[in-house]
Amino acid sequence: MEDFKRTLKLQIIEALNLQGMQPEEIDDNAPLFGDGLGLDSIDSLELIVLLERNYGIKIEDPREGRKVFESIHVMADYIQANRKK
Amino acid sequence: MDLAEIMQVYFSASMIKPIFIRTARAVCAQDSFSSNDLLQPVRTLSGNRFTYLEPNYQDYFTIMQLRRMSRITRLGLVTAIECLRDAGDTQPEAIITGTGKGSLTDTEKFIHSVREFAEGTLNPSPFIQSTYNSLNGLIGLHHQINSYNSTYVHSGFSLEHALLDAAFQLNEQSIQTALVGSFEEMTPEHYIIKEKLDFWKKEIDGPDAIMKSSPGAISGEGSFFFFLDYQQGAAPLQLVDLTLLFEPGEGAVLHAMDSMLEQHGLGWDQLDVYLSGRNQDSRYEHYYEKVEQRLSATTHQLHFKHLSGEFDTAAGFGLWSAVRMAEKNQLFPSMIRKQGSTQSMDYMLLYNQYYGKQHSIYLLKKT
Repeated sequence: MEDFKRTLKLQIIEALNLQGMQPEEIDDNAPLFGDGLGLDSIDSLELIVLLERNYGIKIEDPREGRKVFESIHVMADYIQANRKK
Repeated sequence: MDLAEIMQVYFSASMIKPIFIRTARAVCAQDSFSSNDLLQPVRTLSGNRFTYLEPNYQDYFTIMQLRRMSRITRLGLVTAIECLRDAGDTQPEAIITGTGKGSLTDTEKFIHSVREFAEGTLNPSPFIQSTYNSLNGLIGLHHQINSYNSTYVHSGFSLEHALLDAAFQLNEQSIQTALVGSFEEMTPEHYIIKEKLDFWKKEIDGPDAIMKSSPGAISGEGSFFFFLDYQQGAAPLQLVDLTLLFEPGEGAVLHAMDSMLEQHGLGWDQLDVYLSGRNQDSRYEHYYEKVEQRLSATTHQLHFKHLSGEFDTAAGFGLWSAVRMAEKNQLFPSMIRKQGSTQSMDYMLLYNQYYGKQHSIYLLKKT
């Protein structure tokens, strides 16, 4: 699971163009939006695209997305439970 | 000149009052940004195109801010920030830019994504950043400017339309200041597309290739910003007149220059500096040659594209040079093509054309 979380962080860094940021700088349990990593609504769309392209997961209800993207830990659990590829 | 040629005069700004250029900033292939000067020695061509020197963006933005900016928008924003800082005014009453192609990097990224994912899951960021007016939005957001905001995309007339828009509004005094600029980038892929359209020189055999007359030009890129004011103040340069011509004959270009000078009570021998957009593209050199034949021996003849390369808004480099030379009261030595005999540099004529189609003639006056 720890390896998967690191892979996920690398994918997020690339997808959100977080140049210069290292996976270690992203806390597994810190909120991705708001006070934590400080992501916004456009990032939310980017993460939805990431899930669909990389894991075949379609999130059509934005409210569901908000819960899934709560933290790296929550996101990794959700992907492992729902991935289609 | 016959009627057909007269009809080719696209726009003449002779009816507008002069406006003043208070500050100017440039990022291009030369070391022009840090000192706002053209530092020696100048950079020569390496490879097949001129690429601009990137400022240190970390001095201006955090990682979280930079990730929402494409290569060209971050460059344009830094250029605009320094232009406003120099002017001592971060609240211009208009932000107006011109660009031929905008953010090509993100446009290509978005189009590739459309193809790769069959119009399915597309990333929003490259689409947002690829729009032509994204830089204007960023400038407005950065300085919290809610005033008039517009971008012109008219190939070799893009910067000129931005200047004209500002000039009209300044003349009407609906605004008193304006930030006007241009931005252009070249990507490897777009270079190949234009190569197939015969935009570039075929044989680029070293740094002197740009000085040799042959079909095609050398590619370039850059960003240029100007702070315009309706009144003189401490502005070093005045934009007296601006005429645009579309696909004119040589006669129409000379006629437009004659008319412009006559309108302002000037003769050719009163031009102190001639700034030429000559790029050694043998297909269109005849335009420049005809003008050079008309110039007086007193006039200093300067050119600038051997330092910047060719692009839709390359005239911005010429205009930045004029502003900076006027402020310093000194010509840039690396631009002198033919030394004139005059000791003054009151009136300058900037003539640029883009592949024979869009021709722009600027009459400038040192204040």
